Amino acid sequence: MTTTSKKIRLKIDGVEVEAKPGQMVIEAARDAGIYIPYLCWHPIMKPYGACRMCVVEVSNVRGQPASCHTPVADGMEIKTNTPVLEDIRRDVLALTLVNHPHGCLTCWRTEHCGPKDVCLRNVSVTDRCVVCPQNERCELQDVTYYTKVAEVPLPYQYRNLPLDTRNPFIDHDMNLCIVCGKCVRACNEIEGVDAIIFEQRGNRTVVATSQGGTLADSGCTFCGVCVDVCPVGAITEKDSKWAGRADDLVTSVCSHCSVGCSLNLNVKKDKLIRVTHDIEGEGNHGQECVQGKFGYKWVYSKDRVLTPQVRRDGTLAETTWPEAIALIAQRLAQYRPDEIAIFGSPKATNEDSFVLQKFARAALGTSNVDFIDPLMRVPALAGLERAFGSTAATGTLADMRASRLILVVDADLTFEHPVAALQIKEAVRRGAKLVVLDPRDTELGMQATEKLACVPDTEVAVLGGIMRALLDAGGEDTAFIRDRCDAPDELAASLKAFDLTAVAKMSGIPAERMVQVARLLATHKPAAFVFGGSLAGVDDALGTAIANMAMLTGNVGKASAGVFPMRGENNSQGAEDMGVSPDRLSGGQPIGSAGAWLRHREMWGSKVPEAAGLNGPAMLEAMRQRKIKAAIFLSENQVVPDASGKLALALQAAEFVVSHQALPSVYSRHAHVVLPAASFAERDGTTTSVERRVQRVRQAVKPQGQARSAWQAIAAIAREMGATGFDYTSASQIMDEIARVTPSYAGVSYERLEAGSVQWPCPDAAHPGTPDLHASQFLRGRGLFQNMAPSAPAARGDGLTAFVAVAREVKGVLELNGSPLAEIASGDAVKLGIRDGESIRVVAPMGEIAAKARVNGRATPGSVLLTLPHYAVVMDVFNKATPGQLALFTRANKRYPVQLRKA
Amino acid sequence: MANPFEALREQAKAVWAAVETPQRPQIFVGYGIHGQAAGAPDVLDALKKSLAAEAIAAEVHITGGLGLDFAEVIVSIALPGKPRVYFSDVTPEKARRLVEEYVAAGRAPLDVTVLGATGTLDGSGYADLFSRPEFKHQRRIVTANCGVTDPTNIWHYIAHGGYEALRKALFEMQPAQVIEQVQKSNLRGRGGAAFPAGMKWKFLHDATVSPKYHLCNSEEGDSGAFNDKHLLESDPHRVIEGVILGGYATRASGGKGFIFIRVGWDLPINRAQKALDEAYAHGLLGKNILGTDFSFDVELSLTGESYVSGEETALMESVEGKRAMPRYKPPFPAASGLWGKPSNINNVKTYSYVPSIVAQGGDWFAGIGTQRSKGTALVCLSGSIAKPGLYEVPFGVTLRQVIEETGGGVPNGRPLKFLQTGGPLGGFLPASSLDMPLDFDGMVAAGAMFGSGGIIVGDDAVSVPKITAILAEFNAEESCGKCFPCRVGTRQVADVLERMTHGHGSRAELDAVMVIGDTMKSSLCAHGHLADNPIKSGYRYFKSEFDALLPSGAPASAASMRPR
Repeated sequence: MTTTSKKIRLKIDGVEVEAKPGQMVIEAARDAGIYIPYLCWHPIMKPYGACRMCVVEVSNVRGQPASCHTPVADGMEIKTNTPVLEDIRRDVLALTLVNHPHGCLTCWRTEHCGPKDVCLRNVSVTDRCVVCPQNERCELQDVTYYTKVAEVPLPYQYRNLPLDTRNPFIDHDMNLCIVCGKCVRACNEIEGVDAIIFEQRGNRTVVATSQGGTLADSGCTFCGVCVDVCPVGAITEKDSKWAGRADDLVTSVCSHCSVGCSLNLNVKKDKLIRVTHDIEGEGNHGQECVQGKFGYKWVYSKDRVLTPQVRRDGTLAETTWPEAIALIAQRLAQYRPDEIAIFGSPKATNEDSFVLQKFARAALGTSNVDFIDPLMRVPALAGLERAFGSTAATGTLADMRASRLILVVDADLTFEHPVAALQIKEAVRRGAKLVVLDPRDTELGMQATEKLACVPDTEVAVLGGIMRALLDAGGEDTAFIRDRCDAPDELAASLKAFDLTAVAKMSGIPAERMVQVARLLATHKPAAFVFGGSLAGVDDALGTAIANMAMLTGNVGKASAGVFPMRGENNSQGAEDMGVSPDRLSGGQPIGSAGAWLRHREMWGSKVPEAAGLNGPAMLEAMRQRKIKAAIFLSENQVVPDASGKLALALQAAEFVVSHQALPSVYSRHAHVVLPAASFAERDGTTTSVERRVQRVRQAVKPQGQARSAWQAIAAIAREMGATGFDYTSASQIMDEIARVTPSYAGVSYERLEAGSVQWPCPDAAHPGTPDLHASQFLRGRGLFQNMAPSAPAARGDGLTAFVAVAREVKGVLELNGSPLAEIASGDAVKLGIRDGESIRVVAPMGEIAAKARVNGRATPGSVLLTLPHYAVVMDVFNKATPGQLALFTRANKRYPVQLRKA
Repeated sequence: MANPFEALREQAKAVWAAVETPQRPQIFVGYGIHGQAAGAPDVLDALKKSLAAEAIAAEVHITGGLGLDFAEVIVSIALPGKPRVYFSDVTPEKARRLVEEYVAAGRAPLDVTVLGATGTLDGSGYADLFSRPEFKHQRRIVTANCGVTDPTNIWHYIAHGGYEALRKALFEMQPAQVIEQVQKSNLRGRGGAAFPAGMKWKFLHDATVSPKYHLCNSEEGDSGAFNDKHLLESDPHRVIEGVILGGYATRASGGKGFIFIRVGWDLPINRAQKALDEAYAHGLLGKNILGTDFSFDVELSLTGESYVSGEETALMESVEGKRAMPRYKPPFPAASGLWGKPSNINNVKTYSYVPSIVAQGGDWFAGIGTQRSKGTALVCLSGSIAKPGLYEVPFGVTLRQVIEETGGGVPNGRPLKFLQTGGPLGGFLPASSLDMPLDFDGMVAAGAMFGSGGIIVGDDAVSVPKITAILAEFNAEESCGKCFPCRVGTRQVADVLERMTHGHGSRAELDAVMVIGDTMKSSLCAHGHLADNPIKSGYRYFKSEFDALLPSGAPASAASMRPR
């Protein structure tokens, strides 16, 4: 028998334990279910050795080493609980309590006080259990009870440190700090931010901000990991610090961006009280960001849609589910299939999306099913699909930590996909080269080996120039190209059109820097290519260029290599996988392929159409022209992009609109029936992250009001309309059906997902999933090089290009950034006569918005970085905004020609 | 093949000959930190002015400290054909007269004290400097050049056998043979823990990862210890040669040595930097040292003011630019040290012995000292002592021989009360321990430690609890703040002792302090392990003084953290 890694056998408290080489004793004990107390150790951080709680006795070793930094060895005999060890723990802890208020431990009433009792003031005011936010969920309390400290030898000394509450998210009360260093280490090791550090020394040692000012001044991203690892009440969430101890932790998936972080929803009395990181998260490994950590409050928004509503005489009135369903079924039945449009949502679960498109195809008989805006998919995907046979990211985000080169194009990951940015920063710390090609000055750009701030819309030209230089230098991976790819000669010929001097002139990137990047590409492997979605004017040429570059350098299908198109939403990938597409069935099966269509017709009945439907914009246009008369929209809490203003026109023209949503939006202004949507915390299902990771979304609390999942609502409508095959009673059943009809999901089931997530393709239950797509061959067979042509950026007159970034629905981000903010380069500011801090108007073709000007080095000349607050302000301007103004509130980064005017 | 070192040696001989048997008067000013504190800059100034005024073509050199710090400023003068005469307590006024009367006219002024002379003494009327009582028990190995040669002049060092050991090692020995000699010598680390240096070097020698690093620790924050700084300012090349030999012996070619000094100690920093520059200039450092394929760099690394950064792993953190907090061990530095690479760390003194051991053999070194403590000890005497200074004595010499015969005992006829040895983490020894021989292990057994060699002498006017409180305050102030027992414990001990010395102590608190002392044994590094030494040993030998500070009628409570 062969084993990949040798097992180590040791005895802990007389129990035979197996451990992995390199493990520490405390880990081996934990795996074996043996408790050793600790305060400074953390399962996902390096050992630290400060608290001395985890001391053990080891056979043949002198003294009492700390088990957190004692590696396991064969034949070791460990004792965790001798009188000597108990003495050490008790004494050290008693000493620690001299500096930490401990009324909660020593007050004689603690056992008698009920939760609502008023403190009888046996204890001084700074020392009472009720003044500590961490009371009853404090690791120090737990360890103190375990070690049975009976008495603290010297009087408690209040440290009298000022509180820091100068930000919307995190409160610091360092009087409660035990200096275990977990927060400082988490900030460094897990998040790579170093916003907090130790200050002073000896007993005055205190956790402080690294630049001395506020957390924001020190580069804090408010990811909240420091809060989650703090064992005491020193670092707490501002909004939920007094919410107390959770009754239950429900592991689920973040509902914001497409990285798919696993998070723990903390539930108390059927209420979501806070969100904490999941140290076992397979995609994020304990990492999190401000969106996932703090962006859950909208679940309890006073604006939630709580009951079904029907428009009567122009206003929405409450109704019941049966009535709403009956009305919808009756109205839809009046239209021909091609008169109905079905709009999915990249925030909906796989189950919702699957049932929605099945409803369109099997119950209504239409292929008119898509997102409202194809831009909700990363626009450049078509090029990727032609090259590889799939639009999906080819690798695994966390594997980028081991990449040797990462090229980031047009993606402000720190802002849009923070946890993905962490992997890149970790790679940089490990010595990887980072190339950032972006007209904006992004945070990742500051860490880049080569920062290429090109003229907007010349990205493809620069990439072509780099590839030209790569071929000129003979730096391509000839074996990979020969064995795996088609049409390299054609590409090489088309690259001849990329004259470096001309590209340099057009893009502002000197030729020698393109040559330098080519050199890096040739010498640093594996390399990963990450790109975002701010590409309105560029169609799919970017995806083509990136696919070409990845194949030229042989960086597809290998660990820590690959192409990552950064989709926007939590389930952008999954909803597409489920067949929310006018021309694809689930798993990307083309509707025209007779096999897939025939199989679906056999399963779902004769209504399933063979022809493709209209895509999102075409459906909106058809609505405007009153060719499509009825529509269903899913949106949850999504604020809807309507860059062109066409959505509002379409909604106004439609005869019958149904919207399934959780918060008011442009839909509910026009919908004839509004159905209350369950929020991410109130539903079961799965989502598929950008790295093709299928994960369970678990219901943590009961839905607010009468809210329901989309699949429940849609299936009810289908049943009401007499369709068969919609008798679902659980999300799990839907996944079973997904697995039956979707080859890439064939091995996925809820039973399996309980044991862990899986990356598709997963063709059968025994398949381990696929971290790296296209490993032995491309999904389309051989990779396809596609010709490229340099195109000059569109002339923008004397205006500027606005890059719009919108903060997600995280209350507080807004407070931090000030709003709305327009950052411009100093040259442009002088030209326009605009001063730093001045109020200005940003005028776009579809509307205008007031903003505060910030003149700094972040914006490149000719561009303006527009950061808009989100939900709160959207709601604020909702009733008086023009469609154009609302249009500015888009999720994906997009570009608009704008003019800046003085206010 | 002509060895490039031959040329260096020849040139050094010529340079030193011109100093030793001079054609023109040679004047040396003790310009170590003690000399400078005693006024050496003014003396040097006065000498130069007087020489100019008298139009005498003399050469003025600076030297490091002779160790006789009580006698600074020491000026030694070698006139052509005469021995080198050492004058003590020289002031600018006396310097002027030395020039006018001795250098110009050959008559030594009677009111300038003469310590002794070196060179050919026959008929000169001067006694041999080294026959003085301070030198009776001394055996100068690493301090041989101190106060004699110019530390800023590499030729002086080479002329005194400097870099001969390096030459011998590079051209005649394999790395393993060098380690063999160091192991034979039984050289133990002089930084405090007294770990056998040869064994440490062997670990690093056997490590297969490169680069390898050598860290020469001159943090030296102990109160009462100044021997590392003394060596660096008086004979820096010896330290550097020791580090290079360490690099060679441990197969660290291509690696690097760091001499780690606390920022602000300008004299040792400047002297060491000057010496490094000279060594590089003469091919003794850098690529292909002396034309061999052995390459090694040494640079100075400066740290902020932190006592704990003298702890080996904290020092590494500090060199890496991080906060000086100790790491956990294992892994030990030889496996994963500076920047995760195999590293060796030794004290300045430890490295300084190596050139002599390589040159003269491990057996020679092992022949000096006691059974388990080999070689010499660099003792720094301060406090209530007649002749404060630095004395190099072989291990095995008794404390009485050091304190009374070498250091002249307690001045003004007061009785000796205690010795505080080993720095703030060391302990107290009572007067009755004077017959104890100097020995690493013996002193630890007595509750004190030899540590880095500082001995503070206390007479009967000094309160032991007050000194203890001061040491405890130092330990609290210098705790890095990482591990719980040391961070909180040192502060609580200091606070209680502070209260006690002001008459606000209690028996219960004193008892608690004793328990905290035990608790601190579970600390991460030696700072916490040893922080109870001053209290425990102070209380052991001077219990009545502590008890006397407790308010009369204080209840003799036995309260402690362990109500068992």
